[in-house]
Amino acid sequence: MVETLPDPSASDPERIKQELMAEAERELARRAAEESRKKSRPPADSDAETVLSGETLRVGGTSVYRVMHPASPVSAMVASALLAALAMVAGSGIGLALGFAPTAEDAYSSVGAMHDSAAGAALRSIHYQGANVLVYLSVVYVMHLIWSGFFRRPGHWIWWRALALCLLVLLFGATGQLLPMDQNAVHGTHIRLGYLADVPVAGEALRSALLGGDEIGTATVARFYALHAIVLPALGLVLLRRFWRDARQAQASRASLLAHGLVIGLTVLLVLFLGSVSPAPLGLSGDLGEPFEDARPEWYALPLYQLLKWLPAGVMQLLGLVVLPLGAAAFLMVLPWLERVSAEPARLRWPLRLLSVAVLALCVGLGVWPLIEDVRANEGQGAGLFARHDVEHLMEALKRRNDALGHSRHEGLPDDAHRHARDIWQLAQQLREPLRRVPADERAKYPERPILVDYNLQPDGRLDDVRARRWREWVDAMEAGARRLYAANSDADQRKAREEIRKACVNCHDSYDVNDPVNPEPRRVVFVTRTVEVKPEVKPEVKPEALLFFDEAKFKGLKAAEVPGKTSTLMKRMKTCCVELLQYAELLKADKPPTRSIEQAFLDLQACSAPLPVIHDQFKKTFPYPGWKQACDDTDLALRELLKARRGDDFKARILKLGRACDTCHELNEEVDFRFSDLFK
Amino acid sequence: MAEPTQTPDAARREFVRAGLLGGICAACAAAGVLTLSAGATSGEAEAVAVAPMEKVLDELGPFAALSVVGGALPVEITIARRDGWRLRTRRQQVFLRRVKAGQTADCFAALSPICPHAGCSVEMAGDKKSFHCPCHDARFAADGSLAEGPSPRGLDALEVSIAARDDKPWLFIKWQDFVIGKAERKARS
Repeated sequence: MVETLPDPSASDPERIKQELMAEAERELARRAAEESRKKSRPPADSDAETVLSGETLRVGGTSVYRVMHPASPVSAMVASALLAALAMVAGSGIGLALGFAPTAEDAYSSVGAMHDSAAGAALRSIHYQGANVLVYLSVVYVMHLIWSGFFRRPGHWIWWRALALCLLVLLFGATGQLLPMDQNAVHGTHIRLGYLADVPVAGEALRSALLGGDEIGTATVARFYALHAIVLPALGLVLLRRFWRDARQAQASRASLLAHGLVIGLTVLLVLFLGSVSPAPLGLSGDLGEPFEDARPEWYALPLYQLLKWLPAGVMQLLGLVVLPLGAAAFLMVLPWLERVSAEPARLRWPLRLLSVAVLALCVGLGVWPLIEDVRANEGQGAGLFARHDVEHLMEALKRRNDALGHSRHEGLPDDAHRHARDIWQLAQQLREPLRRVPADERAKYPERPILVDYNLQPDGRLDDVRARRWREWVDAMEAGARRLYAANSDADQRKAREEIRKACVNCHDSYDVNDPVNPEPRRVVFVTRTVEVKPEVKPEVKPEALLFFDEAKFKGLKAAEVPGKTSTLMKRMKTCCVELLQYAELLKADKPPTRSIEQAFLDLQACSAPLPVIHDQFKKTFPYPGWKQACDDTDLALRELLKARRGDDFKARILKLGRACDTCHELNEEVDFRFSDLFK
Repeated sequence: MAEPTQTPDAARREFVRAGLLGGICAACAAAGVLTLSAGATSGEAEAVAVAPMEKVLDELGPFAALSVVGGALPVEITIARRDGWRLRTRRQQVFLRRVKAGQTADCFAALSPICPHAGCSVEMAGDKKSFHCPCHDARFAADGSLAEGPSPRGLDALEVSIAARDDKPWLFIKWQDFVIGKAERKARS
């Protein structure tokens, strides 16, 4: 054999031709011997063998298994479907990459911006469901190869390529899942990288190379993005080159173009259908510091996830996590050596078929198990994908984001205000859910929802419509504020939006007696869990007059008491009237209660002030004060303004003005030791 | 090795050429990986301030849960994280417990909420004392020891200290990352 091998340096066409002819003769001789051997044994029942015997082997041209492989229309169809799904995923991936910013701060926001537009959401859904369809089809392809015996030699390259395809699809999923950087992505990848560190020898090094830091950050996103968008596609292209040739040959040889077109069309429709029924999700922005109890792996990893719940840590976990998957992969890889097409009649055919079906069924069972557990978790409230969060949970999340935004009007917005705004917007949408989702008769079954039950149910157990409506109004206000903040173009706009959000929180907390003022201090929310009586909704309409300190109607029929002639008595009465007014305004505490009504006190005060301008004549000699007239005018004006005072601070300001008018004079007269301002000491 | 498509000679040439080009490409990529992954963690962390002691000891304030021995509550600290070429800070929840009556640092204990099993964040159970990991259902007692579930060890304790800040005593907690999935407790450096 050695001497017949052509010399690489020689390029004599005549010699090459001779070599080829010799090789072809040898091959034909071998085939003839095989034919005669075949006649002596029962007819082959394997597809692969049938195909092999039906085709003429050509040497130096198409190799054996590629003649063999396209003979199965099923493989060709699956190949066409895979290529169609791959085209959709690749195309939408390019579209998504155009708008993606691979940094820790911006990744979520850039995906969110795409998610919020109809076209971007469609792209995401196609990418997401296209990848899912790729996983389904890979499983179908591998199952088909096992079932029809195409893993056997000499068809082993097809088989290994299928396995490589599965591995690539899984790696694409593992790297792509982090990129949106939402809670599920960040926490899920954090956990997976932890498992990776468990792998002996290279695990720890691989983990730190992928992380590029203490934990998931910009370095990690950049690396995952490079793997997902450059390295894996490059490897995929190498694989695709072979795959494509197979598919093309299959189309040319066996199935009609129409059939392939139909398969491709159906695949596209399937992806579009799945994308519209279950679009790509985007949760709250990822933050490893915030506990996220609903982290679940992708659906195809659920069997392993369930195993990990049962296996204790240590050796058992290592067995389940590393040895089992690697062992299964190794078994699949050596299958071509376990059974060859040219060897004995297919002994392992049925055992292998049954084994593959059993493993698939086991995986489906193990995968469905955690879903059922999640639906039943938390006494029917659900967990993971099925979590229906109660109000306290949502409030905790809201509080965190509001704290991050800051409530002070003087401090600037943080750089990541954008994603916090988007989170608040999403949480507000979820806040509307509890009311909408839980029907009245079912609500009684949820004792762990005290807020909803206590605050929005009437004593007879029916939903309080008014409360529910107001709840929605506040949630709407918060959502509108968050949207405004999300889309804010100016500093002023942002401030307004933050104020809107704050107001919605304050209004709601006030109304529900939540023991938590919305303030700039980081704090813990303490919800009042006692039952709150549902108060009548309609508030009495407040007329502007009711806010006034003096009731005009009560002046009717009142008369001022007679003004005393003695100046000291007059002054003393004015002081008493003022003290009584201050008592009514709760600005002063005196030993004895006021003897006059509010209006009477004012009338007496006003009457006493009337003779002031002439009083000065009595003590002009001892206290000559040129500003007396001015002081009297000020007093008169202050009294008239006091009459229009509203309750509270307005009254205080006006009576202080009156006091100042009096004090200007008192301070200069040595005989007077009373100062109005002393009343406030 | 790929299947022969032409004469053995041409196939060998093609294989060598593809291998050479692929090797050059892989070598360049490997150089990139080596450059990027050098010295990428922040190492030993410093203790960070949680709250002034007067606030911690206030029986009516936000730390009221610590007024009874055995009481625990989640608190948030700001920790520094190495991210490639820069340092970022972020908020991290830890659990603070009262171990015994008194005002010294050894009366308090802090637990990392990172489950040693798979790295999920544990949550406080309904009794406000023990802990539950929502990922794989591990349960931990009030002192952090493993009660049931797949975790290899109990929750990791963090160092609590009391030190002066602005001339006032403050409670400090030192955050640490621990290697998960192993029975032996080892800080990541």
